Amino acid sequence: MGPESLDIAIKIEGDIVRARGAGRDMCRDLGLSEINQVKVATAISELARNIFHYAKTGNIALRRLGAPRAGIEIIATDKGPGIPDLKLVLSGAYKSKTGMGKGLLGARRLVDFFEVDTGPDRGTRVVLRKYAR
Amino acid sequence: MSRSEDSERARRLDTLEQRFERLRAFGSLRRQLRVTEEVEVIAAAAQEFARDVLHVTHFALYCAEKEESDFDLLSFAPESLGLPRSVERDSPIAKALEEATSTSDSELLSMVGGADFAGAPALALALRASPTQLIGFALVKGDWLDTELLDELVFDVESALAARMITRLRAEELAVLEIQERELVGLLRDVEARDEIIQRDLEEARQFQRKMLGAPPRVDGASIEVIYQPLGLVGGDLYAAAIDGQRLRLFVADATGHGVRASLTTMFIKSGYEAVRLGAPDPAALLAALNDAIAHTYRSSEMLFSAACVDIDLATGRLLISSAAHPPVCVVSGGEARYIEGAGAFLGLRSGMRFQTQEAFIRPGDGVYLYTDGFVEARKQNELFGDDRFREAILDAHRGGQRLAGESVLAAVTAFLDGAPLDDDGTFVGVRYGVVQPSLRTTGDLDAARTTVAP
Repeated sequence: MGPESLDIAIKIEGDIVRARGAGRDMCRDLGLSEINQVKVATAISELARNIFHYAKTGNIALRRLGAPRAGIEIIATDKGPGIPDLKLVLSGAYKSKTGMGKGLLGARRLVDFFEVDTGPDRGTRVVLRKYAR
Repeated sequence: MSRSEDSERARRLDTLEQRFERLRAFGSLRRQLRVTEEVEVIAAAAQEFARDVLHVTHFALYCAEKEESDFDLLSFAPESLGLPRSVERDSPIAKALEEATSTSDSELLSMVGGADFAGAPALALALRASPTQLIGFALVKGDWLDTELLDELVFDVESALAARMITRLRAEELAVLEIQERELVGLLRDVEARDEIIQRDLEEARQFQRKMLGAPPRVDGASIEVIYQPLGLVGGDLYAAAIDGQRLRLFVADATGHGVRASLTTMFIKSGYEAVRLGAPDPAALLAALNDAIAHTYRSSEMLFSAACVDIDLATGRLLISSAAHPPVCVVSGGEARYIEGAGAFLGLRSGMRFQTQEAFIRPGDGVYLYTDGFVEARKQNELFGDDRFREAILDAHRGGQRLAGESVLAAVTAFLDGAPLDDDGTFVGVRYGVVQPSLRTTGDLDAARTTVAP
């Protein structure tokens, strides 16, 4: 059995892969199906990539969820510039040329719970959850 | 006109005015909803509708995206209702919400269940994208009102919300596809990088294996040729030719399988062979000693292989032949080709096995050919090239007098295959006895995929 929770600092590009791998390991431990392991791992690497590209540094925290529903919680935090036009990005109406926002939008589709708090003064905090069943 | 008629008219006028006012308010709300894209704006409009049109102060709007997700509360009033922000799918509230939307054909009548949940008297309003997928749910507490009006609003809110949700879902799915595409490209790059490393490794292994096999020795009184053609870069076949005084000793072995594992086995066989070669007086003794060395040392590694060994006395033309589970040695003598079959079992399984040596004589101009089963068992559809064709090919090649009999045999196999691929490693070692070997020539040097070494 792996750890109950895990903090991964995102500083260099290699940390994205590290966060992804750790998330996938935790999902495997939790008994998530192969396809859901991949979904969570993909969502994590998208968040980690966003941190690396827009905020430069940040943190990915992984936590096991027990009762009432077993699963995994991923909290991505950074002290970056925040996401302008979050509503527009999440509405899917935002036409991005740089691909910005796609990661966030896609990540939401890959998990069961999704929450973003962002602002220029406080950086960005994204909470994802994926339940085991 | 009576006073009662007057008052009746005034009353009706008043009612009409009231209805007109409501319709006007409702009309502007509908217009607003039609141009709305934001879920939050739709929620606010529903809130406005509850307050201004239905004149209720208690309401809640829940929204659910898909079957497995939870309900999110988009708006509610008043705060004192104390409703949870998010309602999990399995919770009693969620169940009440779901039941409320699936109990009756009439959407509004089915809301009674939902209304009960909020406390009577109450009215609930459901929003759906399709009969099976609930995407939104408004719960409004208040008095029963004009059903027709409500039905229209249900339709508008529902359409606006559905359009909004569909846009969002499409955008999300598109984003996921883009992410997956990027991931796939990344994975492909990784695979390509790893493949390059593996190819480089294999190339080094190939060069190593070729060096280990080496070129056959240059001897007086015989010319030796070798074709070594593994299926991949490395193979499970092995050959050796060494001169010791008047004795030319030829050895061919075939480790089961092909590729890297089999090629590693060839290393062990080669090293075992070199260790016992000089101490073995004849081929049978050599195979027995080699078998003992491999089977004893690497018992658990299951290094199974077949082999044939021939000693040629270059002074007398006397052949000593022994083989183990290997294709027969082909001897061309007096214009005829014949197979000399050995009776030995596979090598490497258990130590202590004994082998027989058979004797034959050749004269100058005759030939001895050893090979592995790759060329003999070349297969086109279900037809094997086979022993008979192989023997004829050897005889033709030998009689033709080409210095490279192997090339000629291989050409016959290739013609038979007619484009079909070989499916095993192939090795061919030929000796022409009594032919003075001119300067040693190597065709297809050690760096080529196929190695041909010839006089």
